[in-house]
Amino acid sequence: MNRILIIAGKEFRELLHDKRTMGTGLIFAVLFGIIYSLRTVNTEGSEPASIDSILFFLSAAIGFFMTYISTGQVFLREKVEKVIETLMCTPVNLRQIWLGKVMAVAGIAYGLALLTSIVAVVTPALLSGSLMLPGIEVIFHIIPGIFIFITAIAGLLGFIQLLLGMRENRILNFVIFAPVFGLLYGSGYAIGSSFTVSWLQVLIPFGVSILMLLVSGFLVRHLNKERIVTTIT
Amino acid sequence: MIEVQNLVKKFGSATVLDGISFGVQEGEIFGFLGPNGAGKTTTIRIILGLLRATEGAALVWGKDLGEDDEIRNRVGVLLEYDGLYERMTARQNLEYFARLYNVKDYTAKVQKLLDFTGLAERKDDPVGKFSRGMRRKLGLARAIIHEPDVLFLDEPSAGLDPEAQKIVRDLIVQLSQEKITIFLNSHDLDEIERICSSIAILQKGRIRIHDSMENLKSKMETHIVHIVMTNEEMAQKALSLLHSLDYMHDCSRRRREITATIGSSKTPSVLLSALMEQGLEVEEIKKTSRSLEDLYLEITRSEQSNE
Repeated sequence: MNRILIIAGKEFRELLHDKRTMGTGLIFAVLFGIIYSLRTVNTEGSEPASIDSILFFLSAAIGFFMTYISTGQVFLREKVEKVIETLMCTPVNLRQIWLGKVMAVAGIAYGLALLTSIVAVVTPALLSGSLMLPGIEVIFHIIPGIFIFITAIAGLLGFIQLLLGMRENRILNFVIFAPVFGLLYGSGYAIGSSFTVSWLQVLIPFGVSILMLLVSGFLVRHLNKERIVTTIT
Repeated sequence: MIEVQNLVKKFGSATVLDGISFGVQEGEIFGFLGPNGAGKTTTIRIILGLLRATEGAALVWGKDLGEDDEIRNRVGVLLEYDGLYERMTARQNLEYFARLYNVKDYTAKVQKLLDFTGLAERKDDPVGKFSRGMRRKLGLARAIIHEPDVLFLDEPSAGLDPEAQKIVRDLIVQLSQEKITIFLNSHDLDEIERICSSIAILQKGRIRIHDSMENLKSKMETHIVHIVMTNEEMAQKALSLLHSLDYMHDCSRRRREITATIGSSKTPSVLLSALMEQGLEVEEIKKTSRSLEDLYLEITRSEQSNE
């Protein structure tokens, strides 16, 4: 466990000091938090969206987006710089490496997902003078739900990035990038509709996230060093 | 200590290693030589557990480094790439690996290694700003941070300018005096000849020679004599005569010039006398000693000419 924490700590610090990743993350978290929260304010000709529906989608979208850009930094960069070969010669096994990195990515991405949620709650309060708090379903969705969702996505993406060669990873980036933005914008449309958050809508993604996490943990057992070494260049 | 037994490695239909076997004893400085593409890096990667052998085994202290996580605590590695994080400083890199290897009181150890490699003044600079030579030195420091019992070095001085090469070579020589077993994969024949206690030459996935440096040096105790005759006709006659001498190891002609290899007990004057007795006119004669480089080139060229 100690070595996993050493890896997680190092990756977390590196991500935190990466101005580009953190800058992008902070801008997206704050900007989208403000933009979407304004939809809770009653404007002429349109029905205001509920804070629950905004937080439900926004936390997931920002979490997903940050996980996506952070895994690229944490998993792929080590392959590009070829340090992973040396790391695999230390007394750390592949699962420990993977888990340490997933923890770091999840920490950063979840932090920003929380930030965007806080911004979305605080902004309308500052504008209207009244604080709208989310329901218990949404609090459950954000506190354990989004964290598990982000960890599962980080696990799967990390596994894929370790498994595939650089060229395949680049192709995959294009394939994933479009759906990520689709999710961000799509959530905006959903907020505009009469979407309400129920326990069923919270528990289904929660269950799927746990399943994805288990699947990624299982898949990593089948990852081998030869596969990584032969896909470095 | 390191046992490589009948190792075969295939990538698809290409056979990179074709049943190689050799051993490295504790405390030995083992030089692993071979031209590009011979399979040296593949061999190191299999020993380190980074690649799986198609057939055969590569064991260190009787164990597979790929399977046993804790045994890797006793192994230091400097691969083709330095294994350093570019955005982290020299000190942070060393501290990170020291912690992974569970080194006690690593702060003092890190400082000692920064002093040892002459990088103390640059310890807080990101590695990305370092020259190739500085990175190689830091990579070496990283490889020995946990005081390993065996050290694998893959082309430690490749791509360095002569000054940096000398610094890295001197560091290796210093390490070799500390009873660490060193597996040195290098193109630098001078480096290998000076510090290795045994060598193996690998070519096209096969071990061509594996012997102690002492034995090889005795094999190398021959003289190479360059003789320039007055004309090509004389040179042809001289070649025929030299071939018939019983102490002649090897003899070849290129236009007027003959290159002859004779045992160390004979001197070039013996050849000169033999030629002059037959009335053959010699324009110039000079002697050179045989080096590991000559031996290496003989082995690799003879293999090429056999194809």
